[in-house]
Amino acid sequence: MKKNILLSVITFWFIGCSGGGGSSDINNTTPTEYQEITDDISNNNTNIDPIQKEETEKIEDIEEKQKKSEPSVSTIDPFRKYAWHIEYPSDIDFIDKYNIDGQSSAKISEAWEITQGEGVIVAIIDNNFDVTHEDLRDNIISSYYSVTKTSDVSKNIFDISHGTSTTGLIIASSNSLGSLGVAPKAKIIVIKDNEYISDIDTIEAFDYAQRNGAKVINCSWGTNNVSDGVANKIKKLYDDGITIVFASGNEANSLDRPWINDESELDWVIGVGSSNEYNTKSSYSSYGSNIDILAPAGEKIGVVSTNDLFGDMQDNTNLLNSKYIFFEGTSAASPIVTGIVALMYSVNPNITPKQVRDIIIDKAQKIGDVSYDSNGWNELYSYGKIDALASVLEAKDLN
Amino acid sequence: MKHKYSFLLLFAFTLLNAENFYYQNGNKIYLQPLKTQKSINSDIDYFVDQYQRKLGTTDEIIVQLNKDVKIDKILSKYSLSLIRAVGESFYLLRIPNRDDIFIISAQIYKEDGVKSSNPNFIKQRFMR
Repeated sequence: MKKNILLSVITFWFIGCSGGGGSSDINNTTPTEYQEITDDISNNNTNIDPIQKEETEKIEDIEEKQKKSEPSVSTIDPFRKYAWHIEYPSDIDFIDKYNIDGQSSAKISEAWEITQGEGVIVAIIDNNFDVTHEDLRDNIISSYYSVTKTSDVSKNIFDISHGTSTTGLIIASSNSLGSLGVAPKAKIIVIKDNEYISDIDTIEAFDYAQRNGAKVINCSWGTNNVSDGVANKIKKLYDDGITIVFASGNEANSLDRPWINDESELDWVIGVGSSNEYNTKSSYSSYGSNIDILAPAGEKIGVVSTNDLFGDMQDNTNLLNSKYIFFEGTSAASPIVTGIVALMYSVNPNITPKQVRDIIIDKAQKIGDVSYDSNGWNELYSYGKIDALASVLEAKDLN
Repeated sequence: MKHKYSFLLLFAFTLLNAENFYYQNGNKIYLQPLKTQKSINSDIDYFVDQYQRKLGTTDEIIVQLNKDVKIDKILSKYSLSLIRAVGESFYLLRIPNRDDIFIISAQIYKEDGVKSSNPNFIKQRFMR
């Protein structure tokens, strides 16, 4: 009996402390249903009533769902603790060091309770790729070099591996290694292009993506001077139900200047700027009347992703090791939007690219101490920062 | 005053490069040869537009046709050879004399059933 009383006291004490313990920042910024219900019960643990019973059952239900989803999205990928674009990080020292705002993520881990991108094929056009990377190889289904028309998409020995980093942000596997992509259960086609590229090779890159079943294509690049042929090819894909995502650039300039005619400004493209760890617009992010949305990509610290270096020769303070990096710029923001679009297609394969764009804009988080006009738009912040959870839920509701 | 100066500059640029232009969104974009670049790669001619954006050209043109329009008529009219078709509506064509690249691509642009016609430009793609 004494033992039972002691156990009860300890249990009540433990439950009572659980809601307010630890870092208040972390608890305030884990807005899952599970957390809310846990807090509610912690504060009312002395009265067991039918409502509480119902809530307890809901917790058990959620716990059951979480157990089921654990094999799909593991919490043990070691660098997930730094993934502030996905969720509030679990590494307290990292949070303190970079002053990470509690609301800076795109609410991606919450969207994972609904989908991780199953059944969706993404394509990415970039400079080169490490298709053997431990965190990418399981999700790469095809590779193509649009210049040579071969499958060799690897880099020259001292090249920067831009494509490996952008790819990881979309589909890095949940495999207890390294980082995690936004859509870790999606599959990807990697398409290599050159820095100096002919328009026909660009058109063929898009054509390859379409012929191989891509639903969304990431382009973390731009020419500032898109030709009619390339613009028309992108429009054709849009009309055929494929969403194209482009990065806005890192010059901190307006794209509305007369000599800029960038791919990211096309009406049938989602143009992406960058937000940072303080939950404001990144200072470098280019903007303009045709840029649609911001996504987290950092200011002093980028977002953790895959990398491909020649040993550790590259002098880069953002390196975690030779295979992982903190990657920043609108090149990093764009794949985050691409990954979220993949999540949306996963819950509703029938939504059109226009619906995808409209949902993303409509559900955007209005960040920054700025005013948005009656259409919800701001010159620097576009329509705000992407919200993965709200976008996926809305896409699902359109089913 | 600034606008007046810009207009005069554009007028002079246009006059000097009357034959070197292509169509973008229905507007003529004039180009000036960048002679210093030519010797680097003899297969590519380099140009800059009025904003100093650099473009390379070869002897290739990309033509996009409207649905159900055939390329044969254009090939024979301009003595072009078909390098390859891309997708349902794009054609990569070779012209006999690359000095005529802008004249021929602009003429093709005016043909019935043509959606776009440009030299197969070589551009720098900026990683972001």
